[in-house]
Amino acid sequence: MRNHNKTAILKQKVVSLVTEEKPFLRLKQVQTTPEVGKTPARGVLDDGFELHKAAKADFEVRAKHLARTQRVNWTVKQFRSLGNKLFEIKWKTGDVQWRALGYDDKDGYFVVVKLCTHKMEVYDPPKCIESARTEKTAAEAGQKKVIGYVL
Amino acid sequence: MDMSSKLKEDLKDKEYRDAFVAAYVRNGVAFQIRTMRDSRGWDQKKLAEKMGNPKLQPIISRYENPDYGRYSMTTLLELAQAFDVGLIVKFAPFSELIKRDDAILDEPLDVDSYAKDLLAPQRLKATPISDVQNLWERIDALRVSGYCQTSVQDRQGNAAGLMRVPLSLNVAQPLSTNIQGA
Repeated sequence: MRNHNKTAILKQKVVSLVTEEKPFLRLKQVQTTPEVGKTPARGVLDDGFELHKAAKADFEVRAKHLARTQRVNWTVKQFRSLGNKLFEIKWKTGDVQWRALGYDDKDGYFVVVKLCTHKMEVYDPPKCIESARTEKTAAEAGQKKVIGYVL
Repeated sequence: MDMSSKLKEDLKDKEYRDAFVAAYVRNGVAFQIRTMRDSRGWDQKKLAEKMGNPKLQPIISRYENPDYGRYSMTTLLELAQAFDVGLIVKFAPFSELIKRDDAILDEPLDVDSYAKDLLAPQRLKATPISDVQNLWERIDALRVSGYCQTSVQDRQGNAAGLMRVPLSLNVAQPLSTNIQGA
């Protein structure tokens, strides 16, 4: 069983090595506010970083460095699976652990559905993962609009 | 909004600016150490040994974590010595940071050691198929008495000057062989 798992992981790595192209991370976000006149649409990242400029800078620089590195070389301190094709990008700003939860869409974008903080194994908001799963399902079904996020 | 104009806008905020500078250094150092170590096939212990002390492995682990950020100049210099690469630390205007950020995807994380960089025989950069096709078009356009001129690059991608290339290039051989023999 262990060997089978190892083979599966190896195959996955080989496939991603062959199919991945730079940038290795491209971002989108679930829309929270539609475009009104000349005011552009806003998404979950725009809202979450509105009052947290340092976290925004840390996230964007981290994302740019992940974009330079093949996903097989990302570490669990930077990115991890939460199961059922939901993932989180992890980073720290000051003493606060931040998480951007999202999924890979069919066009090769990582779509962020939820922005949370994390302390002592507890997410804030508390039902962050459950909420992210709901958002993911809605976004994949086309019930939630997804917009771009320029790094 | 493109990448650099968005960054210019974001940098107007002092909190963003300060965090951006710190994040750039932290991520740059951490990702580079990990990439250089991987490309040499070393584990963290091996790198610690190269630095002269196997007990430094936990420090390397911390330095490869981009959230860490408490680097000592002495350790960075020891790492540079272990990898046999240079280390550039300098203050810079934000305009320079924006330029570097704009080209961040093209800047390799891996760095060649001194031996690979300067002692290895100089080879011409591998030429992508599309460039070869462009070269043939340019040869056609510049046809002059059996020879044409084309620019060549060294392996770092810097322009190395103009070379005369015979029009009777043998396509069965690598392009570099033909150009070197021209």
